[in-house]
Amino acid sequence: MDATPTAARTAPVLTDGYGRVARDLRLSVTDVCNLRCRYCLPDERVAWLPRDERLDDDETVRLVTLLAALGVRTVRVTGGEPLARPGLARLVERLAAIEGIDELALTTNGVLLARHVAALADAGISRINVSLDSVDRERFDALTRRDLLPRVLEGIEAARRHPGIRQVKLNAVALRGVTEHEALDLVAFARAHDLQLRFIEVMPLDAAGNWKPTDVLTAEQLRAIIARRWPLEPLEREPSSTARLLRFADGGGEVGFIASVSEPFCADCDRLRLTADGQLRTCLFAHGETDLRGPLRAGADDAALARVVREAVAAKQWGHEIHRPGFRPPARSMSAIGG
Amino acid sequence: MTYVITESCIGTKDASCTEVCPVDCIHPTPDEDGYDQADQLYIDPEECIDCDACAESCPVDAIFSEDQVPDDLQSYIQKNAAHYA
Repeated sequence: MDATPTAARTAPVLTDGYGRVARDLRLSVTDVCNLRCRYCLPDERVAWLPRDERLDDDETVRLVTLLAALGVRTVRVTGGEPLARPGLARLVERLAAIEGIDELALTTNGVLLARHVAALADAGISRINVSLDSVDRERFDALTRRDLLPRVLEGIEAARRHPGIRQVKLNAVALRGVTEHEALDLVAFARAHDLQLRFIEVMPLDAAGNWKPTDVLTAEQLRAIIARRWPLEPLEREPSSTARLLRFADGGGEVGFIASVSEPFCADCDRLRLTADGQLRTCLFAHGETDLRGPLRAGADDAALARVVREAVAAKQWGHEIHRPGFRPPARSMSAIGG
Repeated sequence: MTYVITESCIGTKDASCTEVCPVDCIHPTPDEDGYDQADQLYIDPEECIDCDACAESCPVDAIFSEDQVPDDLQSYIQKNAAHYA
């Protein structure tokens, strides 16, 4: 008789060795991006994934359907820049129809959002996070190497006004030497537009491998800068959340800090990542990834694929070790993994 | 640096590129006048921001960075520019 308890074999959950259950999928639909943010991509010709290695719509739907059957409940569509994938709304519509998927969210740089938000909302996207590191046009151009801030602002406004989009948040990467000067303007913008803004500590995930610990402007340092202008009150942290939220004492909304480096939140991580080329990652910083595209294209059935996924999740590492001596960043950059 | 749409667009006109162009510099789009009559789509060299998204989106590999256009397709550099002249 099989020694595995029945529940562990049949329960529709993916559990790792520390008891964490995977329910949230970060789905990278392309590694291509139309910006060249200095902390992410080089400005010279980027070596994107070979085209035939990227999952097509059918393959993506098949894998997400499988993950949903194993307990994944929310999907955040990301990239690269997800809107650089042609026909994204058609794919989203199919993802929305998958049994078990309760919520579809999108993380985008906003450049193409005004054009596509209506189709995406109709297809099933209900929450959108827009990456925005500066609201000053020249500094945005300097950071992203593209003069596209006006389009991003149009995109944010279009998303905010669309009745199908329940929530729009802003994400700003916190960079020492840069974000000290952007933070108050970003907060003022977010407050004026009634948007939750989260600052994300810059992580060692740049394509060039140039990240240094001293590049990080910590959540605590930023909080102090913001609190001098707008007093803040802490809020309870939601389970599995990446962000620590605080509210403005004057009632002007909330601001969040994603302290991936200084205060990691691995203990209740519920995330899995599927890269655009069909590799399952259980941690942003994992050195290994599990190939799902290979078995999928070789004709593996769902039971076989589910076994591969269960084994990968069971072996999920405890957490990243950015602070440990000898830390090595993952071989792939954030643009290729999916944010 | 601009990108250039070349021969294999003719008869294809997939137009995925117009969907992903961040600066709307590829025309005519399927909802614009002249799309049906156009032999192919063209990139406006004055507006292109060199992001590479169109080239990656093209199902027939018609799009090249100006400095990568194959020798036998060099005439398309001028053809794209002429569309906007």
